[in-house]
Amino acid sequence: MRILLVDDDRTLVELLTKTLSQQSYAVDVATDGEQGWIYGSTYPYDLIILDWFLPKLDGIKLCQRFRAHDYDMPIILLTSRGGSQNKIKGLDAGADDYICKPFDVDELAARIRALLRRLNCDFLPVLRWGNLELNSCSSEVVYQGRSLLLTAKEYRMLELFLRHRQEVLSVEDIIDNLWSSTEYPAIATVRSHLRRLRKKLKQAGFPDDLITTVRGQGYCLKPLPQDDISSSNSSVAKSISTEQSDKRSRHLTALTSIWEKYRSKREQQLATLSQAVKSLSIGHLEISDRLSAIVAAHSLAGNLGQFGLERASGLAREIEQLLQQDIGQNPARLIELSNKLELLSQELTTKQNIVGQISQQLAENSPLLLIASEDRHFTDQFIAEATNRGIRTKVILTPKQVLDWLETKQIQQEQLPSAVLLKISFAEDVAESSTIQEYLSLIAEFKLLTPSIPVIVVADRDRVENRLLVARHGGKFYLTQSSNPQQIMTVCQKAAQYSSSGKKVMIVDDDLELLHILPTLLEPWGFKVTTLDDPRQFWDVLQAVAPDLLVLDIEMPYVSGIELCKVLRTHPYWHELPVLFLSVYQDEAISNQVFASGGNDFVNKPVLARQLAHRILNRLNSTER
Amino acid sequence: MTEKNILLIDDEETIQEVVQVGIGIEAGWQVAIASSGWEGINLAQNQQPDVILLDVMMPDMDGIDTLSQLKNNDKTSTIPVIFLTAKAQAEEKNQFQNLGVVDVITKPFNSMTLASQIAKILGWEL
Repeated sequence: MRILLVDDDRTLVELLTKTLSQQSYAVDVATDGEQGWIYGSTYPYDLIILDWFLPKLDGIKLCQRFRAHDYDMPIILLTSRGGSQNKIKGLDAGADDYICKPFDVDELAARIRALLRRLNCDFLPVLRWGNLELNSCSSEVVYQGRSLLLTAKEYRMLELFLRHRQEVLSVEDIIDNLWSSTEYPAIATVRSHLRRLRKKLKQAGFPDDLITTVRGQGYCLKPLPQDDISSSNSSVAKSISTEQSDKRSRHLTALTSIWEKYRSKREQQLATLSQAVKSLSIGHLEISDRLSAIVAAHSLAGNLGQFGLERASGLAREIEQLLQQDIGQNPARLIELSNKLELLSQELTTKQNIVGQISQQLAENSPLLLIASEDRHFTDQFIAEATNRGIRTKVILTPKQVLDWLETKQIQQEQLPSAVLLKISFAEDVAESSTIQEYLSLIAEFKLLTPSIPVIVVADRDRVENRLLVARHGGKFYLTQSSNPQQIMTVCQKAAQYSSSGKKVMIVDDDLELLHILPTLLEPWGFKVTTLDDPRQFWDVLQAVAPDLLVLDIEMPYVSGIELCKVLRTHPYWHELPVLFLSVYQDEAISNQVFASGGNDFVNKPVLARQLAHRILNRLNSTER
Repeated sequence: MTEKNILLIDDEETIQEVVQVGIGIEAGWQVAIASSGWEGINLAQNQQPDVILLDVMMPDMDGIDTLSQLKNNDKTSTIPVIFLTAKAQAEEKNQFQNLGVVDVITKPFNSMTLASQIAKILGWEL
């Protein structure tokens, strides 16, 4: 990964260059805005860090210039200017993130990782390839549970291949990404790093070269054997899918037997109604019989509705209402009652076998995947794969039709899809690029929904600029057509589950700066973060958000975190909610108070996002166990 | 997944079984059944369930009277109650919530999603 740092503060430049190089980034430095422009427009950078105050051309103008010339690499703006107006100005100039000086270098590194992950559409800090795992937070590589000792260059080289898994990388590509522009490594040096990396992977037990040579072109990751793919990705999804289908079939069987069990009761209820209608028609219905008939109609209405027989349920309800009125003297109403009863009997006779009905009712609960593409071959292969996994599909041909469909669904308050799969052809002519724009707007549309619906893009080519375009519009995953339908469907399934299983974390702290930063830092871990700076609104927000975990500051105006936690522990709904405390104090007395109040964990300020995320995950995992 | 104890107060046998099956299969929670308001109050006092699902339309003592008894009893006043009712209008739903129920679930409900609906209302892990 190659980073351009544009800053004229020598001390800061030295510190950052050292820290980022230790984390194996290749760093180039420019000390004024014009030099920054020359570097940035000459070499390919994965990310640019810009200071606001720069000689010759300030950071805001430089940022605007990059964006005006369609350079879309992520940009982080560094500045000593706080305040939301300045932040807005910086972000509006095209920066992707903003950090105030003085800052914690670890935090900057975490933000760089978060932005680079977004660039690659990797939403978790861990990159996986079969049983190989690369954790970009801890810089650790693990294969089959064992750690691999890699040098910084070997680590970055492996990361580069994992992030560009569909591409062939030339030696020049590797140099551009891993060495700064002031270094000129010989091709032999690059090959020697690569050779050592391959050797270590082989020693760790990799079956054969993970990185293969493509003659005359460069190197690429060897496709995974099918077994490894299933063990790394789809086995989890498959077991979830099997478990779901198993549940569905048990459910179906149980409901069918309940339906059968109460068949005679329904017949009795119909007989009660029939008798009441007869009595009414001869002008004499005892009050007790009328009440029995009303109870029977009420019961039928509820039960039939429960089994998805809406028409029959509606008829029973109308019969109940007619019986509640005094219709003995009204021949027209009597005929109406008699007709409705006749229709109800017919409905029940024709619906003797309820399996199809129940099955359909249960299917309404299965996740819906929306596929938007005009390519019939593309959609057909996914429909089959989705059906196998118990996922319903809806195919719509064009982005415009999707928008119309979405609008209707929203107006009618019907179930929206759990995930959306789009096929985009980036290789199309420029003349046709309006189609690409339509697809991108569609991605943004789904992203802006609350809750947002994940969009998976299958593209015809794998270029960073296309990935970035999709990521910028809010795309969840970017896949290429080289992935097979099973792999793509596994990603869709994962995305659908991800969208619904994002853990909700509520943070209560009066430190506004911290509240501003934490959501951005925690979201890459998949948390849905809600912040609150006024503890007086705690109960309202808690009820509305229903979080999975609560983070409380100890010292707050009006009411302390410890007091809130004590109250929470006496509450019947919330007494088990995991609570994690934040505090600037590190003494034992405070920690004792925290645990005595019912707190589950304690994190000292200043908080590092990575540390907090891990502690939250640990707490949530132990709660689930 | 935490085990939860649910008390259903509903006079309809079919609904009782559908709820037991739905919640049992989907969430693995225990469902105790009471067929009348009185039986429900008695069970709620003794078993201290995590939530009570209460049918509004019942013979003898209806759901609203049962709720009022539950709320006036020290042993049951803090147990959350969810009303089960046929097609409640928004206005009616607001009235119910003012009586002290945490939410209203409309009948017919989908037995496959009932447990997740309850979990969502009460902020439970599922």
